[in-house]
Amino acid sequence: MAWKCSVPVGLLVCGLVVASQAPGEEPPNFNQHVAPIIYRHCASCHRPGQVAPFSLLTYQDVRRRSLTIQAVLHSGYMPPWKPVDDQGMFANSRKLASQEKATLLRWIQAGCPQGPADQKPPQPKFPDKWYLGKPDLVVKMPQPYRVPASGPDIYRSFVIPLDLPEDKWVRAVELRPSSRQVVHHALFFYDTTGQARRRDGRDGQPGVPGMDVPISGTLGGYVPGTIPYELPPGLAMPLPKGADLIIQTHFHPTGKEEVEQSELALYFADRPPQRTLVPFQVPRMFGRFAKIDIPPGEKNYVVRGKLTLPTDVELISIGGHAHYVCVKMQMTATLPDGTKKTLLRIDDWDLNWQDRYYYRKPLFLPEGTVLETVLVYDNSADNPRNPFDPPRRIRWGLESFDEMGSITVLAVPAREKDLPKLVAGVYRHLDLGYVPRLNAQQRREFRRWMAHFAPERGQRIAARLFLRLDRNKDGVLQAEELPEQARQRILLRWDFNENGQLDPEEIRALWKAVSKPPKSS
Amino acid sequence: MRPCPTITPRERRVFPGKTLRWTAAAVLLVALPVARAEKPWETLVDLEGKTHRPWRTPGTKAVVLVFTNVDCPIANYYQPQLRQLQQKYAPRGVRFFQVHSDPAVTPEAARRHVRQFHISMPVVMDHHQQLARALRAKVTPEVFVLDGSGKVVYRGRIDDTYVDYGRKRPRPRHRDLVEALDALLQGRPVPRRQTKAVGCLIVYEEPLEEP
Repeated sequence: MAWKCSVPVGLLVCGLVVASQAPGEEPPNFNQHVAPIIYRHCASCHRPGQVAPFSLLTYQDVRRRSLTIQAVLHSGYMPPWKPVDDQGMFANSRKLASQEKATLLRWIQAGCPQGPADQKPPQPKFPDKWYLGKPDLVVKMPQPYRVPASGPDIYRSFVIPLDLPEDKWVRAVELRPSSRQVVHHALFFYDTTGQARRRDGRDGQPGVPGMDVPISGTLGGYVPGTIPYELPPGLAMPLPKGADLIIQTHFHPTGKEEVEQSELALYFADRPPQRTLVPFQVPRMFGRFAKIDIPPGEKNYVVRGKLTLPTDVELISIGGHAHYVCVKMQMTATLPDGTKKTLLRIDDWDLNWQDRYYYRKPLFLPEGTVLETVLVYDNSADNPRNPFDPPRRIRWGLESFDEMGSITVLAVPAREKDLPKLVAGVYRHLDLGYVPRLNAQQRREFRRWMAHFAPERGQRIAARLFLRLDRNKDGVLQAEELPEQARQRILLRWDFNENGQLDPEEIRALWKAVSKPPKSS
Repeated sequence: MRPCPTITPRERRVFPGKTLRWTAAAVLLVALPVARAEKPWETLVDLEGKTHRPWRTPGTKAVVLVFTNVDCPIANYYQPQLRQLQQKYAPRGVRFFQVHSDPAVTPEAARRHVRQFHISMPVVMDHHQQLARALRAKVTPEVFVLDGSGKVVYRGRIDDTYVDYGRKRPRPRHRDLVEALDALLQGRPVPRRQTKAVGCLIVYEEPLEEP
């Protein structure tokens, strides 16, 4: 049958089922039923000047795309929303309610009736420039970056010197790409080491190539369709004075050359937050110590990580990270009473849609809750996203064709006084290089908890060494922070990536060598 | 109200209505004499008003019709590649055309698209959807390779970069259009005569009749 493959059969069958559910009923029409759904869920991106490739504002716009809409609704590609089984717990959800989806499908099935002319809905209004209103600071990529018309996707990090004279606290960040169609997504970081600044432009173009860029902390991200998110009152992300801002952008060539020069708006808090955000990963360090080593052809390679919460916490947001051959990820919380909660479940992991998911209201988890992450990788030829054809052995690494994986949780201690205990408990391996700043008293308490949580000699040494040496609290040891008499020797031996400093995993390797191997968490 | 052409032959067989049967019969009666006349792709008028009769042009070994749209991201992704293919195969007697079968795309929009994407092949406006209908094109970008006698020898995707919406290979595994053209030019049978094109679905003003 010649036409079998052009339109999936399942699609037609589903369409018919939907249509046949209510035989006598009037089909939905555009003006009364469909337009409100499209305006609410699609038009914020599908309008001129936005990221989506075409507009969905008028009846004609939607009608001429109706079959494509039908197809992407069935495939689940649109609206882009990866979590499953999330029961409306995320504030930034883009998911269509099943009834809304059914209305759209029934409308298309019925031949896209326009409906009564006097019921034409007003065009939706959108904010002109910045969604969150007037920003406190707007910065721009110092130089435009040219994205070629074709070729593979590009990851590049752009360094924006901020030269802030004082520490700031960031409530929200909003990105405005100059060429929206070519920017697939972007992540925001800051760097206090000056390393990123030094590496900027070394290949003759603005920015640093790839995903491997020195970072000291994170400021969120941008995915198409993201509604800029403002942290709940009393919470903010630190942005230390002198830090450089980093925009790590994923470009996908569009078929014509594009020039990108993003603008970024920052919204500051008036005063330091009352409660401290503690980001942590399970497994730690993007799975650096999970010994990720995926044989070619392996379809179901599983990586697990576990962490027991040392205090009561409230979860603010959650998000995953992995590269191309990861296919699934899930984090489950097992409460002390045995109840299980799914915190995040993604069954079709796609690096292109990595997003952060904000809980509608902070999710309370008691002390003793076990967080478990399960990541599944498919390194077979059947995985179209596999970067290698034929498949090759893939190991942990920072480059995009290496693999990694973890789920990052942004939490606050339920009681702020528990901060040192929480930090010691989740950073007992000092893995992320992004330890919240602690004052002198908190540091003393942190050390006490560290000794409690990580009694092994090596880890105790590590904690002490780290806290003592890392004077600027950026999670890495710069050459100038190392004891002068041993500096050359240490760097020669342990600075594996020769970037002139000890990154967290290098520090870790050093401890491992000077101590007996620590128990796994 | 203009109908939204979602009724496909497959569904019609499930619910064969009296009206539909009559329509099909009527269409058949009208279509029969047309079938004997010239095929709509034998004479193509491009955006500049130039008339192309590829099968009457000396040296034509194959004709490639690419169904496209100005704002279909998957179709646009292939534009640089189509330009390269045209440069490579035009000297060997392959005539490339791009076809807009979306009545909402104005000639101005199509010209802007040509400039933006540096399209070097002739672009044909198919506002009455005769070309699309005659070939039963479903998707942009869907390509049709016709041989020297005007017979369709390949239809489908350009290559298999897109496996599904948002599911893209880093590199294609099968360059189906290239394979078809190479086979045709070397006098071999085309390895795969039909593949599934992934992209934006073409909306017909009147439903496609049953083949």
